Amino acid sequence: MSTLTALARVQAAHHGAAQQICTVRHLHVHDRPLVLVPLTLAGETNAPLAAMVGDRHGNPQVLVVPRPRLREQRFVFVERLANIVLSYVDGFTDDVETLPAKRKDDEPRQRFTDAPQVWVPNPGGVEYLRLMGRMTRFRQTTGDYAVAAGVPQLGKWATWLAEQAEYPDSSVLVAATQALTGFWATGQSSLEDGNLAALMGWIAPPAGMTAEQAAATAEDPILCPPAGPATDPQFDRLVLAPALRDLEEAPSDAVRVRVQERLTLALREQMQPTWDRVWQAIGLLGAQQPGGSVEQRWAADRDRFSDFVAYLRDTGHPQAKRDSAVLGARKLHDMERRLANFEAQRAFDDPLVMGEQRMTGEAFTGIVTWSDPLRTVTLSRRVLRPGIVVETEDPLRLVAGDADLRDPQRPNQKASILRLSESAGKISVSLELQGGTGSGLTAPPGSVPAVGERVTYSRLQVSYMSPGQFPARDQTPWTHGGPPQPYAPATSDAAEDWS
Amino acid sequence: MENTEQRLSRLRGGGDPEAHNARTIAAMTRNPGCVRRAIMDAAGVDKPAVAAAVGHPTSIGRLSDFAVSRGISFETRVKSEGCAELLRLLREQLGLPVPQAHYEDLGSTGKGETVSGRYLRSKAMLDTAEQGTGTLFDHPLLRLSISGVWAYLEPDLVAFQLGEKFYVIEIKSFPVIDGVADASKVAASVTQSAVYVLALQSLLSEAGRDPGLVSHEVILVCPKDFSNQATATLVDVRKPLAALRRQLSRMDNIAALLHLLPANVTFDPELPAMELAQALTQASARYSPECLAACEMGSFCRAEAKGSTAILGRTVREDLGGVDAVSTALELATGRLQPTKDLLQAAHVLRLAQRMRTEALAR
Amino acid sequence: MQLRAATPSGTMDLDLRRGSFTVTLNAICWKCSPLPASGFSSGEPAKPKTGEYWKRVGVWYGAGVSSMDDLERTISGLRKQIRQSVASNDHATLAELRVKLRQAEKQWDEALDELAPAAPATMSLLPLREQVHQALTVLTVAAAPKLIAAVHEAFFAGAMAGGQLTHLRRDEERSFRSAPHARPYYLCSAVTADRLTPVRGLLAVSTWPLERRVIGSLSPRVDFLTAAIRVAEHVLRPGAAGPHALQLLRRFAASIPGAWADADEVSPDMVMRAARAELDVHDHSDRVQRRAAAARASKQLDESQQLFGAAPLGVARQAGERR
Ligand code: SF4
Repeated sequence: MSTLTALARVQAAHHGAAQQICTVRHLHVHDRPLVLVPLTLAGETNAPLAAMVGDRHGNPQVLVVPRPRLREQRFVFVERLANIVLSYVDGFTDDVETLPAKRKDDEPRQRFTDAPQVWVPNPGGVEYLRLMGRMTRFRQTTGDYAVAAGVPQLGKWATWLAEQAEYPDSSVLVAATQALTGFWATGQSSLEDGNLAALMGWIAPPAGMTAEQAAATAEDPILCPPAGPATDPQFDRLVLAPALRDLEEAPSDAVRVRVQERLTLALREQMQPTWDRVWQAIGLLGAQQPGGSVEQRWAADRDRFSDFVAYLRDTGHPQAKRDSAVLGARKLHDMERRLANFEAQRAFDDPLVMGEQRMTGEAFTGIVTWSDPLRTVTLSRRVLRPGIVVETEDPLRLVAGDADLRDPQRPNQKASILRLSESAGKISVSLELQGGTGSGLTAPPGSVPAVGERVTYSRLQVSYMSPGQFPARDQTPWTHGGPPQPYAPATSDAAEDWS
Repeated sequence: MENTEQRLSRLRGGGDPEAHNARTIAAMTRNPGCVRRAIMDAAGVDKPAVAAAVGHPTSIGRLSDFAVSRGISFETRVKSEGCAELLRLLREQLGLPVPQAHYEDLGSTGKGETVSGRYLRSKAMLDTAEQGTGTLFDHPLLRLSISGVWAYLEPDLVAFQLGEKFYVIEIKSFPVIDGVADASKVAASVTQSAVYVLALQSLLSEAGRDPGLVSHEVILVCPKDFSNQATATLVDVRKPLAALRRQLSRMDNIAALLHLLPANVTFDPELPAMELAQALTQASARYSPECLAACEMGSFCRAEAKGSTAILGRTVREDLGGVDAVSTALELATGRLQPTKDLLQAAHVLRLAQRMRTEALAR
Repeated sequence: MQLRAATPSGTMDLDLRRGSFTVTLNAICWKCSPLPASGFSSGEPAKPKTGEYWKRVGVWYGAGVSSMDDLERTISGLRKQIRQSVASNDHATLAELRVKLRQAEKQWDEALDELAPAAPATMSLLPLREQVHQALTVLTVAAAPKLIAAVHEAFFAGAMAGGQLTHLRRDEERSFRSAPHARPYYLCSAVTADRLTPVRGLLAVSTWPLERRVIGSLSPRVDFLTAAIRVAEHVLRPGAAGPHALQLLRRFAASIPGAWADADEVSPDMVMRAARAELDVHDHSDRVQRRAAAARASKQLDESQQLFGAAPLGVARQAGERR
């Protein structure tokens, strides 16, 4: 959190409407996402109770586990969920594009032209998928406790998706609340923002309601069923428990069918508002102008998707229960690198994000007041080092000697600070530029900022490791560090009680 | 002259103080700076009733029946057949020697036994427990003085004699999956266990024994992975224990806090809503969004704090340089308000932020 | 005119001419009856008044007669009211309406299945008390209903609902008090060694020596190990090693050190050996404690107290006297 966002919250509270904290959206919004709204049975470990799932708003599939304590019924549910999710995912494995090799000896690479994007209401939904993955990926399709082939396959995909969601630059699994709070600040606390209905209330209150009224309504579990996966305890007591009991005690199949229909209806009523809100969120965010590097990050997602499909087609062992040391270290490294890149890309795409850097004095924006494109210095020989002076009102923390600064408009040009001088609350920064001016001693027109131009310099930079340099297919993280021991299916995995 | 006890009784509108339990006592440490809460808790005011009376009913502590019954069935399972499963865990995971397999049920013997009688029985039993004669004590009754009133507590189990120490055992039904459990749930159980540790220490002191016999580690027993099998973990509770001691001693000094309240103020839930709300505002609150999950008054205090930056969260408030009111922050940002000396720095940062937002969003 | 109605706690036979009714299968018990709570406001489910039950019975009975059209009208009316109270934010009414709706829907179901014949029960042919006796005789130690049910399922085919055992002990006590020794055996309590009061939730057999029915601080463990040995012995009998029996044995084995190498199939011999080894550790101290308590009990308690335990308060002063 920063003062910029804090101020946005204050403004939101004052105006009674959410305020943008980005000028562009940094998330890829798919034109055919899959939305999953899961519910679980309280008290049990990730025991599925119901789900609403589908890739079209108007056509959700409603899955219900009529007797959620029965292990077989849970697997029936997972199997049905697997059918939907896997056929959605498979839909992206038809069209392939070929990319030129990055290095000379490499073969040209192939990747899918699109990848899946799954939306869940909140981080609880991400955790649901993670646990679902853990629960199902080790299941055997033969022998005792055999399950349908889709079950472990769904487990591997759920695990993969949840793993990707740990990286902020990935958009294959999106929690709606996080996507929304990445773009808007509300006049409530981040704790309350965790409630999708309350959050949407601030961003797009229903007709005739103020944001505050909408948010207050959202806290009433009766008017606004919780977005899950946990259900409302009152719903459990007054609707769910009696219905489950009626099912147990149904004297005939005919009655059972009817009770089941009612249960499905009741659960659907609990999920429908959330389902609608997630789609609304997708619509709202999709309508925002995307940032310049969104496309590139999505390409990286497509790369990782392609790698994982290849991995599954190859050995396809379920991911290990715990990362090996090597894999753990590697992931951490990846995480840091990707995080740094993501921050830089966002700042370059979005002046409001850059603003955060400027607030901390790590970056500054100003007007060029003097420019010498022909300035040279003599090192071993005479070389072109254009000089400019930028006048800024930003609270600069950088000092003379700081080098390797960049302006997003000229990413190949590095600047270092020669001098700082302050007068009348403004700081004049003298900069020496290097690169991006061709090889001669005269800089081509436009390659050096001209007097009057507005420039922004920061330490941020994007290391272009992205698509091309990602580990080759035979070195995907799962095999790279490799599971500690080669995976051997153990019967105990399958026998593991499902509470 | 009214003494503290009488004043507290009048404060809650007469009648018996609300009985505290481990959860409510643990929750007391959540916002130690709040005078309103300290006074209400000390007096044993029926907070849910008060909250409902002023139009802000609370759902804190309300659990799904499914969660409750699963909790009970897991506990029963772990304790069945003379705690067979628990003994296995303690042996395998914590090295309990085989001869120590004693089990004492200190649970209620049915109607006719008073709580204090049961407490005395627990005390006698735990006091005389010696190496080799007491291993597991089921349903012991402990007590803790909350500003002079006994709160009776029933931990899941107290195990004795692991290296001559008493251990509190807490049985919880949230899972430990591949060695990892939900951090917030662990934290909540740890604070609750700390309440039991404190109560057990006080029992031993009362019996004239060394309270240091109680381990500052508790044994958390949870389902393993997705199964009903149990797994045990030792957890250090020193930190919550210290927080708890502090808050309780603060409440023991409640007299000092009571002076801050006008003598005629009471928090009787029977009062008319307006009057009650008025009375509440006499005790200063310190709302933060965390209150919503920790204190029954949360929703009321949030409404009261409307217009303040506190409702936006602690970090937001810090980012705003500690400015209290939303309107002040905005006016400082837009330059409509000249900052006082202590707000100079905050004002500077806010103006800068305002400039950047306007600049960026204008384009 | 005779009618039979299926209720959530069993079936109910109504004889309208004689104005009598009989309830079969389960006793009417408020704990098991699914009357839903009637309000959001209180945290506890509301306790129904006795009268309400009869109202409901009336409703059930009426369901067969009242026209389904009426019910459907009621249901759609209730749905409408629910929508309205959602819109007007009226929680109290909403809760009530939901309960009513559910009742109405249920009546509709019942009406449709009008007086469907009760499903035949698939139960063991022996009376419950004899099933329990059989299981306890296998175990030779006092046991909780759940274990008794598991043993019965393992060795005597047929499920036994553990919940049904709760009333059993009280019935036995009543029978013993009204006509002592009229039966060859009674299902009775185990008693605590210190206070000689009944142990919660354990059942024993009256013909066992008192010493075996006294529970000291080590006895739960000793009895557990004894039971493990007995179950293992039983599994070894030809034809007894069914899936339920092995599952039961595994449960025991899991909690006895050295009784089971994880991945393998559980071996009754190994369980017996391991259980005996641990038993050797506890047996002596346990016996001493039990014997002393048994001696005290036979001096202080009358015959029926020896079987069903002393009243809790009567011997409260014994508490300090344990060692
Ligand atoms: S909710 Fe109100 S009374 Fe409770 S701790 Fe927070 S500020 Fe204090």
